[in-house]
Amino acid sequence: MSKDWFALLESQRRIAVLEKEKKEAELDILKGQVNPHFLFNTLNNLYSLAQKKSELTSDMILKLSDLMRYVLYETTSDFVELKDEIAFIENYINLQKLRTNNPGAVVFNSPNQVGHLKIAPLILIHFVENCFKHGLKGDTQNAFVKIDLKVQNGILDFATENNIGILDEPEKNKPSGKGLINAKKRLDLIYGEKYELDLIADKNVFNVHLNIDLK
Amino acid sequence: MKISCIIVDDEPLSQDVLLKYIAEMPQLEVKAVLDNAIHAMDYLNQHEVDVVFLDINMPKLSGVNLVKSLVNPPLIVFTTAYPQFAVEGFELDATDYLLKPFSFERFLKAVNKVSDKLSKMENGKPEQSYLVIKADKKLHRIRQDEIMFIESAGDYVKIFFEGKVIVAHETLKNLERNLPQEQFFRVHRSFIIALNKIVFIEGNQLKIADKMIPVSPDKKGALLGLIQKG
Repeated sequence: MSKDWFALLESQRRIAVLEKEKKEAELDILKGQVNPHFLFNTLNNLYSLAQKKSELTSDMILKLSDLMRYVLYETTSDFVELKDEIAFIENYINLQKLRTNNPGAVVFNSPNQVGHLKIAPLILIHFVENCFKHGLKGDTQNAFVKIDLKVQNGILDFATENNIGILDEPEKNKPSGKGLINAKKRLDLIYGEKYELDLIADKNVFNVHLNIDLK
Repeated sequence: MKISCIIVDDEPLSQDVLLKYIAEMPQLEVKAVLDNAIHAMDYLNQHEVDVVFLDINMPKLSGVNLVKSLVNPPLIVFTTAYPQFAVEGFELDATDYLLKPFSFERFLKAVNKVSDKLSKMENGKPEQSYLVIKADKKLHRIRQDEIMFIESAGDYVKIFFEGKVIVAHETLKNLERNLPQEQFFRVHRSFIIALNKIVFIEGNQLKIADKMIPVSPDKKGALLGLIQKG
């Protein structure tokens, strides 16, 4: 009897360990969804700038290496400084602006000071990526991307807005909106009840509104 | 002959690389730079070009689907940062597939493929044919369109082409059978001539290069008929 009781406890403990491992593996996979296409596009744009001997070249290479260093080395912990995540998004946006004739159509507002609040790494980038993929990349004339990031009393208020363009992807087997589904899964796993997410698609404009309690 | 091309890419920096490369190649001429596939479709419906440098990932209509929508597409060189689209690109019989970023040397290779394909298409219409003939222990391959005339000399024939002469053990009768009737005509017991090489006909003679060739009276009527038809 006592032996069985011990075995049950042991198997319960093992199940708990497995579940934790599964959850961690799942999180790693979700994090790993940062788009490799972005990297090749950026390299192509850097190549073009270098060909032209543009003064932007060196600056953009720095932005890319900061971004890579952040993704590869600084996002291994569960939480990172919000200011680092903001700097990362800023780099990402500046690199994406190289892809358009109209960089003025891309606006990113964020506070200068956010104290030492922490956030799960690479969570906001899913929404930013999505703006560029369906907004800027989905139209050549009327594209726009507007991203607002505010912090009040330890609550992150993050909003994105972009035109709904049409991207004709040759990869048909890839379900669209995969990035947003992953983002939602991660939010659930990490923040549970402490976040609110609204996705509003109107005829021409897509809005994301995300609140996270970072305290 | 210049190779006319258009660039279809929605990203300005990608367009710039192609423009720079093309500017270094005088045989290429850019007719238009278009930033989406719909504009490209309109353009191609109204203009004829030899080759399209075509991005794949674009708003509204991808490069792949643009090609699928064209009834009679020009030569296509896909340009993309994504290798996973290559298979579909080649299924569409694309001439080449450039992975961004690509070097000038790699671009050159694509242009060479394009010009090879273009010249094949040009010569390919009537398949270039040859007269294969044995002479002085060699098997000669002579372009039919280079042959001026053939003269018999006993058991031999002298084939005059592009300023050269080959003497072969052969009969005019055999050659007359083997050469296309629309291009060659036996004007005399001893001569087969290439109709499109005739400079003039005067009396019972005609001139090819600087050689005067006799025309049999019984062949003259037929010869004049062939000449005027051509």
